[in-house]
Amino acid sequence: MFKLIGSLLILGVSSLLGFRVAAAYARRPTELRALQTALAVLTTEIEYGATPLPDALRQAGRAVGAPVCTLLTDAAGRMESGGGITGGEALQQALGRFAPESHLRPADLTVLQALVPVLGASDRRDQVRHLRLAVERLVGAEAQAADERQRYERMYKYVGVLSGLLVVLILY
Amino acid sequence: MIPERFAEEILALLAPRLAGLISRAAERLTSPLEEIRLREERPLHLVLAKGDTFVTPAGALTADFTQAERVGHEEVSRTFQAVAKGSVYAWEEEVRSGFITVEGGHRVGLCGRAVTEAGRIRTLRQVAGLNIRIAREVKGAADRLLPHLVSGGGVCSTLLISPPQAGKTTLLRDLIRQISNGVPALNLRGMKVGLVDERSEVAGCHRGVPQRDLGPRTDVLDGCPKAEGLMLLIRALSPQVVAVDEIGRPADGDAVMEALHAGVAVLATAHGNDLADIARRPALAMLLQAGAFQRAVILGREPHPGAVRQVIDLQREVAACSS
Repeated sequence: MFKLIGSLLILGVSSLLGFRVAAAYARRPTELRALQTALAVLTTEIEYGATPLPDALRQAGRAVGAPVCTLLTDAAGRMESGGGITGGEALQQALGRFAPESHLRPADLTVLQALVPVLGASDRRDQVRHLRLAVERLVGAEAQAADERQRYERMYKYVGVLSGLLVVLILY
Repeated sequence: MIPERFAEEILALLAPRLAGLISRAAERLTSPLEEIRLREERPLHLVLAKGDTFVTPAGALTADFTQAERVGHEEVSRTFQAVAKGSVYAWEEEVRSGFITVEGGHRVGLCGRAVTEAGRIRTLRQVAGLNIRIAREVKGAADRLLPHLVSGGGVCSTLLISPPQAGKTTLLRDLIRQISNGVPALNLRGMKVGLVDERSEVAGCHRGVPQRDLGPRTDVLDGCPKAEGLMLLIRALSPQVVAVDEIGRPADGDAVMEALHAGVAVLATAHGNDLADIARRPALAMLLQAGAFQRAVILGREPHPGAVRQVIDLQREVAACSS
């Protein structure tokens, strides 16, 4: 009886681990796509609306789901709370909170880091140029992430379940 | 000598270290603070109503600029971003014209490297100098002047003439407030006033709401070109008096004439030292010849900004008063 419960536990845990790793592969492209959408909205707000940055960030946040939405509204909130922080600093601080919650790689985050010194600090044309560049780099990252997802997502699910089974068989 | 809401409106814009220095320095001032000037890698400079001074690294005042604290690159760019509320791109038109009006109606002049396109300034890059001009509301500034501008229960169309920094905006603001409130002592009932505030200087609008007291019957068109704004006011808001700051272009002259034909009194200001200066500028000369204004008021900086040097009754061409 104990053997059976133990085996089920092992199988459950290993499957769970496998599914989690697989989920990270599945979420990364989704988040990268959400970031592209958000930055595209931000570009439009800046280019055609000349909307003040906190409002523009909120608009962009509304276009996508968590956690990207949280990143943008967090940055907007930090700017509005005053204390003389610039748009870039607000983004930097919000990124610090966003990084552990997201499934993005450090390389993906550097695309956003590159926006820190420029966000809100120059004229419209310059802002649009930087945002477009960031979107392009995100598109590249997304293609790579989608490829990895195809290759590894199902594999890690199988690896989780099968390694659990293997351990159970060895111990039984 | 510290203006009202100085900490919220002015110090909040400055980079933290400068805010600390200036807040200490401001307590020692003997004359009202008019301008805070930040120039990259150069001494921190304050301009007062009487004279000017520099600020030392300890926050004390000094006349010797070699002793003064220098303003860093980072501090200028931080302050500029705070002035632009972290969204420089949203102020392109303002940056192009060289200044941004912030909450409270204070005006921040910009200096840096101009990027031109087809002979026009497209934007300023590397903003390296800022001039924060502190707007002051002096209630009662127009007390002595107003009786000369009222006749038969109405307000005369008036041109305020003054060199820069002599307080014409302050005076115009107080005139608007008093006319809008009404002055029982002068038998002046409160009148509907329309103000075209192209550069947000008079009303100091923030998100369309005047930050300065302009009376209960005043409508403000903020950030609107003067000529177009005057027409819009007359068409849509039925003012009895319209006010406009710094007229001078031909289109302004036509709009003022239009207002007068509509039976609306006009309060306007123009740069100049005297009536002769004004008569040399075509648009204004046209207005004077057409008898658009009933009064001209000449202002001066002595003995204090906003001092009325002369009120001229243009209908009689006789000096009515001088002080």
